[in-house]
Amino acid sequence: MSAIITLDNVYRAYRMGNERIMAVNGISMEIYEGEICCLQGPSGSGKSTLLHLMAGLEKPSKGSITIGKTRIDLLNENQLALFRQKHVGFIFQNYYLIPTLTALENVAMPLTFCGVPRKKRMKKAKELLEGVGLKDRMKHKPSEMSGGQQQRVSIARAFANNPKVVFADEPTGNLDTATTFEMMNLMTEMAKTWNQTMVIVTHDTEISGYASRIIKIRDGKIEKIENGRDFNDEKINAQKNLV
Amino acid sequence: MKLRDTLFLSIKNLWRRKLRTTLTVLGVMIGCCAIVVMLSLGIAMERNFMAQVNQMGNIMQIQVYNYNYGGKTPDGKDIPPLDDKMLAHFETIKGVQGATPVMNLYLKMMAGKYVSHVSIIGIKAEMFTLLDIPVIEGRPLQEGDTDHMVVGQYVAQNFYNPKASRYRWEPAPEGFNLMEEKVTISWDMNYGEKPQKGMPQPKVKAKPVKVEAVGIVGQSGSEYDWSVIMPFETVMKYQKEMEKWNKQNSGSSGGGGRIIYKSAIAVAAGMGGNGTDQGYQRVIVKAKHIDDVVDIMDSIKELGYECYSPIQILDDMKKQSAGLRQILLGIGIMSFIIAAIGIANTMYMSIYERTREIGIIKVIGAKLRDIQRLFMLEAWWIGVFGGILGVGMSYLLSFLLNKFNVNLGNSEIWTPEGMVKLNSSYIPIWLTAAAFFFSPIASLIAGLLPSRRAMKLSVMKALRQD
Ligand SMILES: Nc1ncnc2c1ncn2[C@@H]1O[C@H](COP(=O)(O)OP(=O)(O)O)[C@@H](O)[C@H]1O
Ligand SMILES: [Mg+2]
Repeated sequence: MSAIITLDNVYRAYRMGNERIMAVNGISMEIYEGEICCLQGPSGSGKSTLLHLMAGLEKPSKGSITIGKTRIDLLNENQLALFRQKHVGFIFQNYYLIPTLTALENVAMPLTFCGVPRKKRMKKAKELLEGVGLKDRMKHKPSEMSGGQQQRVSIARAFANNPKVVFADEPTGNLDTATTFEMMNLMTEMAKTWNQTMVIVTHDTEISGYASRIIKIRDGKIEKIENGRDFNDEKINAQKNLV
Repeated sequence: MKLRDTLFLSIKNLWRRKLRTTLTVLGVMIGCCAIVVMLSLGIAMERNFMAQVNQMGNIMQIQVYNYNYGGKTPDGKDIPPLDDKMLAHFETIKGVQGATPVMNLYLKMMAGKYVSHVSIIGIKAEMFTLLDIPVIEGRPLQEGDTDHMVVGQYVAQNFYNPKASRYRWEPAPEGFNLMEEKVTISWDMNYGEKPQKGMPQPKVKAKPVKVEAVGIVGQSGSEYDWSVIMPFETVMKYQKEMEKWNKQNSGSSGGGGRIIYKSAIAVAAGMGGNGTDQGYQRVIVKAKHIDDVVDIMDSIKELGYECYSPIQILDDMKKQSAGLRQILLGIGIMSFIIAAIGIANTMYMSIYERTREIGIIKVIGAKLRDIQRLFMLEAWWIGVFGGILGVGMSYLLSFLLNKFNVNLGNSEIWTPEGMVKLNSSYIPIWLTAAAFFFSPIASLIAGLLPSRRAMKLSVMKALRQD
């Protein structure tokens, strides 16, 4: 299996008054192409920070992060924006939809920034929303939808520009158990369909059932890496067989 | 991100905050309107000065007088005579189109059975057209003319029949046209009159000269209306003849008009008489362009001559009103600056409110330029709408100011057509265009700092804010 993300001795420090907090404290690891990787750990262990570093939303204090062939820790803000536009999707616990736009417009937004013409991006957004089962909610504003529906919209948005990697930070944290499973099925389904890599942060142990690997984080360090329960992912199986 | 999408999104964002956007647009409208109206008052003032000055005669003509002959120029040199040589020199000054000597003579004219005392102005025939004297009938004077004249419009009104009645002079009838009459001219002021008992008859009879009226001057609002214009050399000749005739009759040199000015100093220095002239009494210099007039006048004054042009009045008027107009403009600019601060304030507010949203669009791939543009265009739209409304309101205000005759200067001037009301406010097209253009530009400038701030927000900080 080839690595799509490589972290080499990555640190991220925060200054809180006079104190220096090492949110990420020397992590080296690889995320493989096409895998669904779970980051687990107690609250405050540095999972979100790690995810933001990998997605290029924040810069490491030390160490290198490579996605594909690009050292994203060396990119400037404009290059990062372009890189995110093309290769990265992000799903937040709080959905982070734009409250004044409809579901359809929210999903089309990343494509707007890519310069995709209106007609084309609306068509794509419609397909994606149909894919997440919101065919009859396209014209709704976020405030007119349930949490689960909003998270579907944000999932559709994350997949809009066909990213190589989708990051999700506790995507089901605000949802009930039934919806959580629905959402996980949906995301893994979509990732499988498009051969995308997913990195999911969660402290929900049920979710780890969907992962090919579970990376346990404690105090900004990797505690251990577990192989996840196989859930009939032919692709990963096939790759495993090849190795 | 495509510009069209940015334009659309920015207007959509503005529309989200209707009340605040409307208030900001109103601020820009008032600022824009203040500048336009204040400027329009100043412009109207200047236009009115122009109209008034145009009433006074031609602004591009400079009257040069030889009053100071025999004195010194400002830098201590003798003032040269105002002669043909000097005239030729005037014509070499930059911006001068031509120059002509002017002389006035007062003679008696007879046309048919009517007579009149007539003021004659002598100018160089070839300069006639340069002086913008409007000819409404016949032709102007031209080179080669001798005993020809162009007649002022009101000259015919002064003709009367001296022999008609004992007690009353009979005026010439309506439609009396000198161009259709046989006209003669004489330096004998009693020419054509009924001989009065007891009045001494001249020893030698003055021989009248035949003259031909070739044209009639329309309304010019100047001395030409009441005078007859003839070639300079001809008037000069009449002058000499008149002096000769006067001498023959009485030996004295009295007469109708004295043209060549003899200063006391010149006479005392033995320079008087016909041989040693100080030159012409008056010369008219015509400028090619209105902007040259002041410079030409300065050059001529340096030589020691007195100059006069209506442009001096215009200049004085402009100087007097300059302070007022600056204050007006200042008020306008001030209100626009306040409007611009309003824009910046609105922008900062909306950036503050939308911090998280800015974070979100950064995460999903908005480039720095996209974000800056998004906010700049919001400011731009405010400027566009404010500008349009501001110009509209300016026209309305301008209309009301004129209607109710709110005025800062004179409100009426006299023209040959009667009293004409002056506008208090005038908005030229260029001002409208400038308002449409500068309002969005100024708004963009006001939006520059806020949009930079939006652009510079760090993604995670923006996302964390609630
Ligand atoms: N912007 C920040 N400023 C200061 N400290 C931060 C910041 N972000 C995270 N931290 C600190 O870094 C540590 C890891 O945080 P985080 O990555 O959010 O943990 P997790 O997502 O695992 O709960 C925490 O102690 C947190 O307080
Ligand atoms: Mg977290």
